[in-house]
Order: sequence, then structure tokens, then C-alpha cells
Amino acid sequence: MKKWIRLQGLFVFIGLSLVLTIFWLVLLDGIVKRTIESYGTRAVGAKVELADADVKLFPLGLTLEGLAVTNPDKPMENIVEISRTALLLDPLQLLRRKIIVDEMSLTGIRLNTARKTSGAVKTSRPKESQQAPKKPAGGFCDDVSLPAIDSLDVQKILSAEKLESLELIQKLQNEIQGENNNWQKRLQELPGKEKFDLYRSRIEKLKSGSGGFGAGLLGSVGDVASLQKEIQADLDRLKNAQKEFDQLKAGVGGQIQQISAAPLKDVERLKQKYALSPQGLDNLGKLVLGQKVCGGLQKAAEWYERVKFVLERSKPKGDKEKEVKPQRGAGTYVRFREYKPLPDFLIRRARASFVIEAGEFSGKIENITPDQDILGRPLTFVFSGEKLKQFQALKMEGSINRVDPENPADRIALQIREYKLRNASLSSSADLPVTIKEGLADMDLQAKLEGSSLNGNLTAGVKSASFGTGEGAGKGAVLSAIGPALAQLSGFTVKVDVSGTVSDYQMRLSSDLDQALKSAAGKMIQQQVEKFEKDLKGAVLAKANGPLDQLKTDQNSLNVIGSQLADRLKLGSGLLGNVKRPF
Amino acid sequence: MIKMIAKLLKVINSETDPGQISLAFCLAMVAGLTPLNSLHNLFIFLLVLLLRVNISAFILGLTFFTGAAYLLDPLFHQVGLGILTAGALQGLWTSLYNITLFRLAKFNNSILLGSLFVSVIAFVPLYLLLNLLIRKYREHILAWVQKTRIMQLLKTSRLYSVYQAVSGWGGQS
Repeated sequence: MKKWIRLQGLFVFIGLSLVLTIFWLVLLDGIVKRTIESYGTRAVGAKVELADADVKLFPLGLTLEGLAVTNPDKPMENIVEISRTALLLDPLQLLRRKIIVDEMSLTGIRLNTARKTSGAVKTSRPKESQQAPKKPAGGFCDDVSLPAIDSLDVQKILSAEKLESLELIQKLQNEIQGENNNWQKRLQELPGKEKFDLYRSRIEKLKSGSGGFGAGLLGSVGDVASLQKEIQADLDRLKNAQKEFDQLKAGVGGQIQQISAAPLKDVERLKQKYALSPQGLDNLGKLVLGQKVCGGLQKAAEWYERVKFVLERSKPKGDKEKEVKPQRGAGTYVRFREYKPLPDFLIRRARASFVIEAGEFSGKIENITPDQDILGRPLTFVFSGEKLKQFQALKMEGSINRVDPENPADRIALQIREYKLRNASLSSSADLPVTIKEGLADMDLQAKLEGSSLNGNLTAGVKSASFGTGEGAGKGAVLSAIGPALAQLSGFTVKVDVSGTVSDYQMRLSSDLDQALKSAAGKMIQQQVEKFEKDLKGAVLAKANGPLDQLKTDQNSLNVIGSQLADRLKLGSGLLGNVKRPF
Repeated sequence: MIKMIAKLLKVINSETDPGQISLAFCLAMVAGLTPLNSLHNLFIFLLVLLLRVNISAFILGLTFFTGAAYLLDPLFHQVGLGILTAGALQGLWTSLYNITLFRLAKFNNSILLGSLFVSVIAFVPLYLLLNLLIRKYREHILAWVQKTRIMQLLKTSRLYSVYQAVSGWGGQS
């Protein structure tokens, strides 16, 4: 046995193991720090820096000091800065290649902090195209512009606009001209004075025959009957033509009557187009608040996209229990069913305290993992703070549920009480600058995203407020009317409903601000609209009256045709009377 | 490396038990063919130090088999994957998968299991074969080699001077 065993080898083995372990422990903190910085930088696409990392073995844990994550879109700004991160790991699960953090504590979280040096990094990886959050339909996010009704130039409008009344007059004139020509031709075809003179001479001939109508009785009766028939046929043609003509004349008369009203319709149409009606002020609240609400919604969407990546799987899951993708050199890890399944990465509970401008608030997040379907529990979060610098109270809770990956469901509820507003800009537009100089705001937000279906509502109330309209006041009649009205307001409420899908959502905004602004500006708007309407009416009628008179003259030209038809009928009827006289 | 080869030649040419040299090669095969940073290799290194095997043979063998492993990786992957996905063994693998020690040993890696399987299967045959070859070498070839012209030339080379120096140390590894 001695021939095969050398005990000193065991001591060498133990000695070497100890040296390696000590060496590893000494370097471990540095290795962890560099690994986090390197992996984080690659993942974020901008510098991730760590002031210090400290690994503890009993109990197994890690403490990170001064973590700063650069905003890849703004390299001179940190997207988040965390003063201290302490976490306790499950050592047994770590041996199973699973990172299970039982407890995590994040203190001093600051968002969007300034950097001293740029955090940009050169990366060969093409930057993922980040789609800007889609704006809602309805022009909420568009720049505010108020209609300048006090500076409307009627002549300029008329030179740019086509008047429908003039087009209708021209069209009818052409029609009358065409009909006039047609009827002139038809008059030539219809029996006229010459034909009736022929009939008259035939009648005279029959009368002057031997013995008058009585002589040659049998022969003359036949001639008279034939003549009567011919005259009657011509009279029928004339009567039909007259009937047709009367219909045409009535139609033209009706059209002229309609066209006479067309200039006023033009006036109404142009008034609707160019002038702001008092009813149009119903949406003034949207004009004032829309941009702010839209900005908030877009910011929320951006943060949602940032947070969502935590829940995305780092690798595609294999079919059922195993992966069969061959990898040269590295091999493939085949997964088998676990008796007590756990995700590869899980933070069971994270306690976090945020330091924002408004003050400090804290809360907890549970079940942070990209494998909620394995864990069977959704990510939940609750944050709250009371008596902050700027808030009386803040509470935010919600969940991100991917337990059934096919049917994701996320929800958030936010309550803010007595948020102190000071020089808060509601609308920064040059056309409608509105700020809340001072005030208190309460806010309730509920939002739900199920699959792609988005539903949310926000109710906000501002009280004890004073408003300002800045330098923009006085630039326009509407704004100069709104300014004093805002100055008299002490508060307002606003309700926003959002519905649709993430990529295509609708936003409805209602506010009692509408009524206040409407009553303030309505009278002034009414006066402006009346003056504009009067000027517009005068100008349109001046343009339309000439062609309208011409149209009436054209209508009279048709009367000549009517007179001719009547004369011919009279002539024919007289002749027929002569033929019917008793023998 | 020259010293190492010379030392090996000296051991082969000495009265050292052929089993000690063969076992060193076989252990080197297991450590070399399987990924070096695996848990079972800790046990292999313990055996190498604890058992009276020839360390020069082990180091040379490790170098050789580590190089060979890179070429054989695709084969090991196929073998490992085949074993891991064999229907009859699913119960066994599932049980082992739920034991922390085996997870730490990364047994569910296709290359590790494939290479371990191949090296364990080849262990005993290689051991016996090497034993046989060393004995045959000592009995029939060693004397003849010493007399060949090439060996005469080699004796004048640097390798031989190193060999002489090593021989001068005396004793066994």
C-alpha cells in the first residue's frame, strides 16, 4: 500500500487549495466590481460605474457602494444613482447556478443626476432603435395655437376661398344658355305662323268651293275631317312642347331661388372655418392642459419601457425541459424538471428608498424575475411617503404580471395628496403660456395594461392656486380674455381617460377649466364673430349679387320662348275653331 | 518541456512500476479531455498528488489530452447530448439535477458529460494497454534502441545531457 500512497501529496493539495482560496478571496471584491461594471456597461450601452464592492461569505452577501448608471441617450446624466445596495444571497441556490437574492436593500436612489464626465462608450453593437412613445390621437401633444379671430382679413379669405354660390350661378347660367339654344331649334321644328297660314288658305279654299262647305258634301266632309286632324296634331305637339317648357321654367325658377340663398351659406361656411365660435371654447381646457398630460403620459411610457427589461428573459427558453442548441467549446446545459422549481434569477424582496426633488419615499418590490411563470407569482411593488418636502402623502402600488406569459397584465395605482406646486408650467407654448404660480394638487391615477389593451384614468384637482399667463398674454384677443379669467381662478379639476392599445390609444380630457374659460372669453368671442360675419356677408353678397342679377336676366330670355309657344297655340286653336263651325 | 520529456524517458527506462506511469497518463486523460475547471478534476488532482503516480507523465499527458479535447469537443457534445436526452435515463438525470453537488459538478453540460463518459470508458483499457507497452518496451526495445545509430547521435544532443542530469538525481518520482 505504501508503494502507492504518498501522504505528503495530501498536504500539498491542502496547501495549494488554501493558497488559491486566499488568493481568490483577496481578489474577489475587485473581480465582482469589474464584472458588474463590464457586464452592466455592455447591457446598458453606457458606462456603469461602481465605487466599491464587498463580498461577504457568512452570510453570503454583496454590498455595492456608489452605483451609477449612465443614461445612454444623455451621456452627461445618470439614469439612476444608488448610494448603497446590499443583498443577501441564497448560497445553496448559488451552487445550483441560480442567483436567488433573499433580501435586497437599495438606499439613496436618485434619478436623472448630473455626471461630471461623459458616460458614453464606444459600442460595436448597433443601438436598438427605440421607438418614441406614440402620441395619442386628437392633437393632445401638438403645439397649442389659438385662433386669432381679431385679425381676420375678409378680403384675404375671399381671395383664397372659392365661393360655392358663384360656381352654382355660373353652372345654371350655362344650363339656361344651353336650354335657350335647344328651344330655339325646337321652335323652328314646331308648327308656326307659316304652317297655320297654309291651313288658313286651305280652309278658305274649302269655304270658297262651289256651294261652300255644303257643295259636294261627301268630298268636302272628308277634306274637313282631314284638315281638322292635321291641325289637332300640330296643336298637340305645341301643347306637349309647352308642357315640357313649363316644367323647365319651373325647375330653373326653383334653382334660382336656391342659388339666391347660396351666398348666405357661403358666409356661414367661412364663418365656421375661420371664426372661433363660443362653443369652440369647450376645448380650451384641452388646449391648456393637453400638452402637460401628454408629456406625463409619454414619460410614464418611457419609464415603463426602462423597467420592463428587468422582466425580459436573457435567453430563449428551450422546448419544455431541455435546450438542444449545440455550442462549440461551451457545450449545452440540458435542463431537467426541478422538484421545487425556482427561476435562474430572482430577487425575492427589494427594499428601496428614493430621493427625489419632492422628498424621500420608500417601499418594496417583490418577486423580481424574468421567469414569473416558473415562480408562479407576479412582481408587485408598493411605495409610500408622508409629509415630504413637496407632498403631504404619496402612495404608489401595482404589479407586473407575467405568470401567464401569453396574457401579461400590468397595473398601477398612484395617489398624491397636496403636492405643492410653485411656478409649475402647465403649458409652455408661446401662444398660450400658463403657469401655476402657487397651488396644491391632489392626484389619483389608475392604469391597467392587459395584453395590448390599455385603460387608465387620471383625476387631478388643483386648489388654493394662483395662475399666470406670462408674456404671451395680450398677444391675442382670446388669450387676453383668458388671462384675467385664469387670474381669478383658485383651482380646477381635470379628468383624463386613456383607452386603446399601447401603439394606438385615445385620450379624453375633461375639466371644469373649460366652463370657467368659456364664460370669460365667450362674450368677447361673440362680438368678434358678429363683426366678422357682418363683414363677410357684405363682401360675399357684393361678389354674388352681379352674377345673380345676370342669372335673372337669363331666366327672362326663356320667357320669350314661352310667349312664342303660347302665340302659336292661340293661332292654331283659332284655326281649329273655324274648321269646326257648322256647315 | 525538454526536462519533462527527459524525466519521462528516465522513468520509462528505470525500474519504476509501469502502473504508476500508466495511471498518471490515465488520470491526465480524464483531466485533459474534460473541461479543466470542473469539480471532478479537483478530485483527479487530489489523486495525482496522493497516489504515487508519475507527475511528469501526468503533466505531459494533461498537455496532450487538453489539446486533443479541443478537436474532440464536437464528438463529446454529441455523446453527452445523447446520454442526457436518452429516455431511459431521464429519471436518473432528473434526480441528479435536484442534488446540489451534481449541479455544481455541471453534469448536465453536454461536453462535460460526453468527455467524462469517454475518458472513464477508456480509462481501464488505456491503463492496461500502457502497462503492456511499457513492459514490452523495457523487455524488447530499450536495449535495441540504445544500440541504434540514431540513439548514438542523440547521446551527443542537448536532450541527452539533460537526461543524464536527470538520471544523476537518482530516486523515483
